[in-house]
Amino acid sequence: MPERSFAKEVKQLRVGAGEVFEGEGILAVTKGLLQSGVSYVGGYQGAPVSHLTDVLNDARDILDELGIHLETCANEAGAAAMLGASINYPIRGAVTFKSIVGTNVASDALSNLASPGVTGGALIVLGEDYGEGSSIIQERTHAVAMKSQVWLLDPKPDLKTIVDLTEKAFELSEATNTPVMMELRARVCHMSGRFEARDNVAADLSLNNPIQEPYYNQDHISLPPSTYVQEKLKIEVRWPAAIKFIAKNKLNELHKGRVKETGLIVQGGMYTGVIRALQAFGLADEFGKTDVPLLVLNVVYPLVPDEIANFCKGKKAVLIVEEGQPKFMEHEIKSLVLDRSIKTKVSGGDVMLMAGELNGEAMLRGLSDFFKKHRSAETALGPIAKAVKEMDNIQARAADILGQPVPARPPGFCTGCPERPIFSALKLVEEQVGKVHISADIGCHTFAALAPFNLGNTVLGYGLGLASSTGLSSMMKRKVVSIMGDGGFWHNGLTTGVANHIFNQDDGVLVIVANGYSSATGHQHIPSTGTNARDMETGMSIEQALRGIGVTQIERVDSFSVGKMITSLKRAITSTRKGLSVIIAEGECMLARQRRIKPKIAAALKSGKRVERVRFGVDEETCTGDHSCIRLSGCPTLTIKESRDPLRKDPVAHVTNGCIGCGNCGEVAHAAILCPSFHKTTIIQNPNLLDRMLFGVRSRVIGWLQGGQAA
Amino acid sequence: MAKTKPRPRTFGILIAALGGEGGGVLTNWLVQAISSCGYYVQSTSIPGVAQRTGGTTYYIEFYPVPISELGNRRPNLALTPMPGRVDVVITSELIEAARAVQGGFVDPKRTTLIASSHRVFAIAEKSAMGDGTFDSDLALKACHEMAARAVIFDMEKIAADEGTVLSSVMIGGLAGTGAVPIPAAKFEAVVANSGRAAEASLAGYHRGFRAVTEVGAVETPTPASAPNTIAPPSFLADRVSASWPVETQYVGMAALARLIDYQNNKYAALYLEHMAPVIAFDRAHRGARNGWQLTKETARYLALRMSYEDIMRVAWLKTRKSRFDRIREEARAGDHEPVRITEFLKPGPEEFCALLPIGVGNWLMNRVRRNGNESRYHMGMHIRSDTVTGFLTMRILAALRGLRKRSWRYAQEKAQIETWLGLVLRAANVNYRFGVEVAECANLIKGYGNTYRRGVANFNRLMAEIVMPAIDANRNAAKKVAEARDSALADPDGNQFVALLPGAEENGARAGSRAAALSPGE
Repeated sequence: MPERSFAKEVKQLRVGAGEVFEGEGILAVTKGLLQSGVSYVGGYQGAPVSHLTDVLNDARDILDELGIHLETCANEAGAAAMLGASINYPIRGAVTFKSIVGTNVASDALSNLASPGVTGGALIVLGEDYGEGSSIIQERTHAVAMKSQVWLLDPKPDLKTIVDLTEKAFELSEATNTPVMMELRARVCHMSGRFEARDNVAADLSLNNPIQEPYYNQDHISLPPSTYVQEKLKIEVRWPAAIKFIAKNKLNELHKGRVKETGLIVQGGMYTGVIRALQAFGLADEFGKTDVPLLVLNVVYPLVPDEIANFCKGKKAVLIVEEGQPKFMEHEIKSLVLDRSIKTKVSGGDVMLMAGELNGEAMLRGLSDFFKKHRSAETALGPIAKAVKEMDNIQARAADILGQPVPARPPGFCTGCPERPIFSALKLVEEQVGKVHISADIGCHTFAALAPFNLGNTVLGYGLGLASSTGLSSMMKRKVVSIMGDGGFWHNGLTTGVANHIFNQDDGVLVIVANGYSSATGHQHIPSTGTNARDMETGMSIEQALRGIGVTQIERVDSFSVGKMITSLKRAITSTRKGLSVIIAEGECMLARQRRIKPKIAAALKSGKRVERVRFGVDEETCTGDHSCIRLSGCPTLTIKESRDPLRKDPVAHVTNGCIGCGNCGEVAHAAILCPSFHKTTIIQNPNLLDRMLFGVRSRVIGWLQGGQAA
Repeated sequence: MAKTKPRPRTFGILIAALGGEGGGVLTNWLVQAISSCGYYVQSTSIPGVAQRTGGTTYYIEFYPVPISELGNRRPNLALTPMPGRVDVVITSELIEAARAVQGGFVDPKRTTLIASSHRVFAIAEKSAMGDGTFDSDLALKACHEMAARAVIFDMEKIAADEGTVLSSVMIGGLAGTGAVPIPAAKFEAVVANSGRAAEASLAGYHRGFRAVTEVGAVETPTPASAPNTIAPPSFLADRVSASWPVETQYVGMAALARLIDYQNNKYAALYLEHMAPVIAFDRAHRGARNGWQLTKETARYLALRMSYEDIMRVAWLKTRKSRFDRIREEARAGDHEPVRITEFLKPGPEEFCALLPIGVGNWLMNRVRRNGNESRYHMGMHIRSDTVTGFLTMRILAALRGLRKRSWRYAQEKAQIETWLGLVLRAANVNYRFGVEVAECANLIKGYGNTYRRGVANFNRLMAEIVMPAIDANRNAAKKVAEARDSALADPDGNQFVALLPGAEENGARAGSRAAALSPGE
């Protein structure tokens, strides 16, 4: 069961015409899909759209009623390929994944989808993970849209606009035989809001009314000579059709204002931030009524040349508010203005932040610089400079008082995470055999590359831990250790990494971190979970898959047995035997496990059953304040506190009440020969008669020996 | 002229919490409460990977006029906070509050800051080999100076007392400030209807509310007292009162208590003898003007060094009643709930030699060290100190303290202490500060097993390669010593430390090091 259940929220998906829908951005998109009459949906989890797949799964009843097929895709390539259903048949489909990384994985299928084009509308809902809180490399999806000619929507952050555009996206897709992408940034995906709903629509062709005959058309095959024809169609037919559709349906918004000399052309997603900055300058009111004219582009690719030209004409300068780089829109608008001999100056990257999220501060500074650069009596500089100056003053004063930046708080392993002991072990093995090159992968385990472990030399992509070791595997003195999560293993690691390693008879060590789920994204099921999203048994296992493709050196080790893990890792790293040795580190994601067992324990306690609760502790009297234990753990519950010993200045280690007794502390203290301060405390709740008698005797004897009263 | 009502303006609430701490729950509660007033409200968050223990923020905006009165107009609600335009900042932890201040989100003209005063240490703070914590006083100062109103109290303690989550105390605190134009009853209603744990949440809400609205509703924490302080006998205590500078006597008393507990009165007297020349030196060199730093630091570390943690010491500390009581308390064990305590011990050759006479110890250590892998000879054991046999085993080990002063380990420690004390005085003779810095170097030697070995090695190198040559050349190396000590405590690999030692090779062409010109600038 995924981390977050939307069972309650999905009821909103049933609201009909005229009713108000209240909920999260992701849920609104789902409602938009249902209102559009889709026949099939799919996707691959990844922040910030992980929960879109969860919502779809939780909405299975509604999907079933409407005859919508739902697929949990193997990866983003699989999801994009699924849209192939719309190439030949008039059925609408939508898939979702994280971008840019997911779009990269999907790009082969996207190219081959875009070239022949689609008959039924095809929509890709992208979680544009750019800016604060992002977990991936910072690149724009815009580039992919341009090179494959897939239209790109960037809706104004407002649920009504998003839902309307979702519906329009299918019409646009069908009117132009072109797939459409809609990019939603993290904050929009998690945004709450409301809009007036429409009725859900059942598709003509669906699970309830299957397609009768297959359709063949050579023009729809991505092979010469069709590919040359398709390339011409893109330019001669589909592009003009798109421009016509966008203009006719007024997908972009023109906001007029009193200012004549300047104007702003903004990505839809930037709209509320731009208005906020204008408000700070006294150039817009609380309701977004602006003095400075705005052209809000809900469709950022393709641009509608006449819309842009008309907006620019007569203005001294326009600013393109476009997040990230390259500034594709700015370049295109500059060349358009030049081609049409329009005298307007086009600003963009010269004043706006080139690299990074356009948050409140960046927006304020960028717009201020624009108005300063293109002075006009209509936009008095006084209030603009004041707004920026006030912000500068506050930040300067704060920095002055604090003296130094406050400590960063990077993500790390959760309390009781089964991945922690693997890296504790690896760190201890390094102390014995020397440093090894670690070819890391994507997943929670990537956090090992951060403090306190700092284990991981490169990260090349999801499921690519092993593949990215091949250039070095026969070139390093010590064997290269590759890491792969079970999520990455099934995403593509099995083929790209393992099969090819065997095929090339390469050398190396692979640690597969098997925690049972796609954990980082919220516990979606994967093939080796044992069941699929519909809770049907799957009977798939990592070990069988490995044996099947010819891996012979496989060891399965319980993650929490640090000692055993050290032995296995050391053996694998120092082995003179050639080939790939795989260690499958098994331990269920603790968050998932806790969610499963907590209610059971609570029930047992309530019914008076005997329950043992375990936690660890540190004796502050024997702790010398060296914190080696923390450097081998990073557990949130293993922390420090001020020493009560007046002679000690350094804080001592301390275990908080969040400890769930996973046992890693004790194992590591033992394996690393750290210190005798760790102890395990087992509390027996609802003790039986024997427990109570033993406890009574022990307390009395020990109390007597301690020279005090019996406890 | 009639007084005109101020024009309503969009209201911004920034919430900063740590992943998994309930920032999401708080956000949902606030949205529900605001929504129940008929206002247009929008919340957003950036959980991402930060939800796995990192810092994460939530942001709410609303327009305090009912939707029904807005007609077709919709307020512009932004997704990111803008410095200087946030009305309320709520954080679940002190440094997160300081982080919001640092970002400029706390405006002295506008922002009410509500924060819990407790600390959850960041990884860089807690993994330092010494004290790497951020100064809480600075954080508090920044919060109070930068906020229009700052309400900071220990919400974690209240949450723990009431068996609830931080979010319920946070929303209570927020309601108490009246900083949001929403009646407190609306917040209370949302918490009261929050499902299964509503009762505890409501208790947390009320405590949070009262903490803000009632004077004295938050207890001021009593400073923690040292456990097991033994009053030293007067014939020893009097020596401290008679001859030690007044400002340093508390260290002396604590040291006596510790060493009597460690060995006996005679051992504590030995400590005083060791200290005598240091105090004499300090008095002769206008120590008062230096705050008696030399005496204080030497006294502190000498006491710690003389009570080095051997098996007997560990066994003694682990079998005290106060420890058993503390463990029960920490584990929140009920009165009738039996508690088992399992000790994880893994003594190595040095620990065994702490029991053995010098000759035997030397022979054993020589044999073990011949292959340079003394870390291999450790014996792992799990001892149940809550059982009679386990307890007795530990107590018998503790009783072996009689063997201590004839042991191999004692001889080692004694030699080291004497070398160190000698160097402290010689360095102080060159320069007072230099002496203090050398005294503080004793902090390098701590821990057990490999940590201990590494510490001793670093200490010896620092003394041999920096301190001794400087003393011989009559040169003040205070700064260099402080730098080297900090670097030795900076990373366990000792890379920084080794780089600081004289003769560290210039190694510009190291694998992987990129030219500075290619690194991004600030």
